[in-house]
Amino acid sequence: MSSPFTFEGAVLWLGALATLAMYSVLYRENPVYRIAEHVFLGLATGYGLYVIWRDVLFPIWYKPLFREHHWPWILALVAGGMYYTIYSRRFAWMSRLVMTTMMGLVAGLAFRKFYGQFVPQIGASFKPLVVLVKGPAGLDWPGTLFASLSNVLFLVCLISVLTYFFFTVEQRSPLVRRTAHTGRWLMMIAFGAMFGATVMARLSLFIGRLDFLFREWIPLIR
Amino acid sequence: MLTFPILVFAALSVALVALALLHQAPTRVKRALTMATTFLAGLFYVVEFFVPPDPATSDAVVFGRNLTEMAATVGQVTQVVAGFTFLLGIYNLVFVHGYVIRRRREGWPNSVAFFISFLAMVVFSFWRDWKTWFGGANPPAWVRDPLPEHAARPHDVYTLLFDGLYRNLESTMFSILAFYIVSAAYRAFRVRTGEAGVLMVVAIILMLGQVPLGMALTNWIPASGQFAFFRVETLSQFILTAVNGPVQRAIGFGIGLGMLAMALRIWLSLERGTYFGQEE
Amino acid sequence: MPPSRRLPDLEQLLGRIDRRLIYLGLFLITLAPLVGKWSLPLYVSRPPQLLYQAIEALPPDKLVVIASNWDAGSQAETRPQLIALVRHLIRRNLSFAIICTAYPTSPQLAQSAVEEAIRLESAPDRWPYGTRWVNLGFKLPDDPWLRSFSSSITGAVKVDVHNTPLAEIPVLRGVKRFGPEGQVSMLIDITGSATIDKWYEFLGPTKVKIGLACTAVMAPEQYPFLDSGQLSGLLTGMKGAAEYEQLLHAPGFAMPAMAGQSFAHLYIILLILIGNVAVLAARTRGRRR
Repeated sequence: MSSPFTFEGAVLWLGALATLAMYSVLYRENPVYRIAEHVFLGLATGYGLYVIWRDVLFPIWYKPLFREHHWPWILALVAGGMYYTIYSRRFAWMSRLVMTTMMGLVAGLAFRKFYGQFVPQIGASFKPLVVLVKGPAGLDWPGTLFASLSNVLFLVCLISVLTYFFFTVEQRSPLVRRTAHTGRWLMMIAFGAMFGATVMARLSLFIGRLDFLFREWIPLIR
Repeated sequence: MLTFPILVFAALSVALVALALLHQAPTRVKRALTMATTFLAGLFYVVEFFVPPDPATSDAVVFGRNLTEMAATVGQVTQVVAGFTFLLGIYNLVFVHGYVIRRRREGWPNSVAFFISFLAMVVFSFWRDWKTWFGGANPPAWVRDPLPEHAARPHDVYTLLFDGLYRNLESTMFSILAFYIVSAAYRAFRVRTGEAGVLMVVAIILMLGQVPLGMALTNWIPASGQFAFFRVETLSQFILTAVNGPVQRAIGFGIGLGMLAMALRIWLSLERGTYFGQEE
Repeated sequence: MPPSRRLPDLEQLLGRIDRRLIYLGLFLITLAPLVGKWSLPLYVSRPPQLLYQAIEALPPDKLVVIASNWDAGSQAETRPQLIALVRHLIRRNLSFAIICTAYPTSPQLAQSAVEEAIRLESAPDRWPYGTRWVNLGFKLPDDPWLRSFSSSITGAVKVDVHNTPLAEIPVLRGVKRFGPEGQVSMLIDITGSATIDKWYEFLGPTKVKIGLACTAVMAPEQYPFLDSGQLSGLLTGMKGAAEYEQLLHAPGFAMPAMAGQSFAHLYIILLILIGNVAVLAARTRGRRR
């Protein structure tokens, strides 16, 4: 175990005590946990301020304006300042002006974003229902059957889930209702997959902490 | 020498006078201006996307103006404006915790802890890099460790705060979710319907298929051949690819179309709500 | 028999386990295999193999951009992914640039992870900062900036994380665009948030290869993009990092940790089954009455 009186040891011990302080909430709610939570909040806020200045405001605004004398950048200060009028009922229209302009910029990008993300998806959805898989001695029948059925399954899943979310007209036809119902069951499979993945993710984070506590701090894990 | 301060002062004055004049204008004028700026802002990127790109540079050029290059400047401006709005969040936090301390509300020592850690991080991180931005003397070694042999982990206060406290607090905070998900799975995951049963079976297959111990349960099945499909890792990969994939795609289509419709509504100022239609 | 002397029934025994006992069980059952160094073979799935092959096929004279969009909250999953990927890039002699667009802590965390990867590859002399790799720091993830970054890297970023102008950084000389006709051959997003959607949206049309190493929570939603070819490969959480370490024959944090993950998964499956048995027992008792 590292000595807390060396620098490396001090970092480890501080980290371990912070970790245990956070974990104390698992026993019950207590002041140590609350203090640790607020310390985290303060550190996060302070660090965020530092990085915003270091990587955004200093190189993009301060340096061009005050070192390179590109005077139009002062107007960015005005635009940023207009956001703060949100706290005043009288002047809040200025914050709305800036906010909606920024939202307009983002909205204008929606076409490009849809094209980039979803048009390839639409194209990739047109799969052949019969896929011929060639083997070393002619047609590979099991491979052909598996690939073709996979594509059919793909189509069934896609259409039934799309049908489930189709709310423009009422779903009266029995065929449409049954297709939507199938989509509901298929979505349960996807949600099961997401649940399994979520469990894996959360448990991994805990394993990371165990590694820190019992390999770096108290070397039980070698 | 004086040109720059004069220009800055002039620009500020013009901006503030324009805002003051607009403030006097009736509400419908402000609303029309808001709608106009929203539309023009969006129009820039719509034109930049739909104009066929110049074959030589792949940029959008309209009447001799390179819109793609102009987009770079727009991007820088939005970075700066967004950077200033970050300070809004900080102001809010400082205001809320300051109020709790002033009024000695319940939990006020926690707010004191917030301020101490906030100020400590701000002071030591800015002090550390002050010379990079504004020149001056080197900070003391306990603020910024200059020794090359400590390059991997500098021996300074900043490292204590970041590596010692911040990193560990943040990762522990999120790792607590592991306990909550285990407890929630035990208490709330009840198979009362067929759909829930399907969800549970698939979740179990996936949880087993992602880990070596689960894979060991079916590794007696040959890896190649017609029964390889029933190995748990193959089965879980099949579920992810053949069923989960198209389902997620269909859900994604719905979300994508919804977002496109929402964006159009915002661009054309058809949206109503707190930020759009509300006036004093 | 008086109520105090009645044995607890199945529903009471199994259905009301104190949560602190459950937490203790999770702690012990996850720690034991890590301390005992139990290990079992891990079969590498297709998505990490695809990512591995995509990096193997990259041209040696182009840059790789790593979007390191993770923070300490997800570091158990994403840090080993970054280390494994950087080790692969070093072995393939591919220069890279780091950019962060999600969390302010990402540049610092990425810097330390990359430096560790360089040490593990015994390459501190042949992989100096500025000549073979660069950290471009943090930028706020607004769409207009991402649009400008996707069309011109040096137009969107002016300095690196140490405030050095990009013109003075050798590894970025001549680098401007993404894609087969540009100077960047691939973007790999290592993320715990939805930043990958932005890369599909803005980099997709450039035809640059996109790889993803994400937390396990996000992975199921990415399979449609793997199918359509928008993603060249996918690493899923700590398991993905372990698979990649196996492909590289370079064990790190992730491979040994999978033992703990295995037992934790079995534990949660057992708890789900116990909870449902308890409810079934209660229902059966109710029907009998």
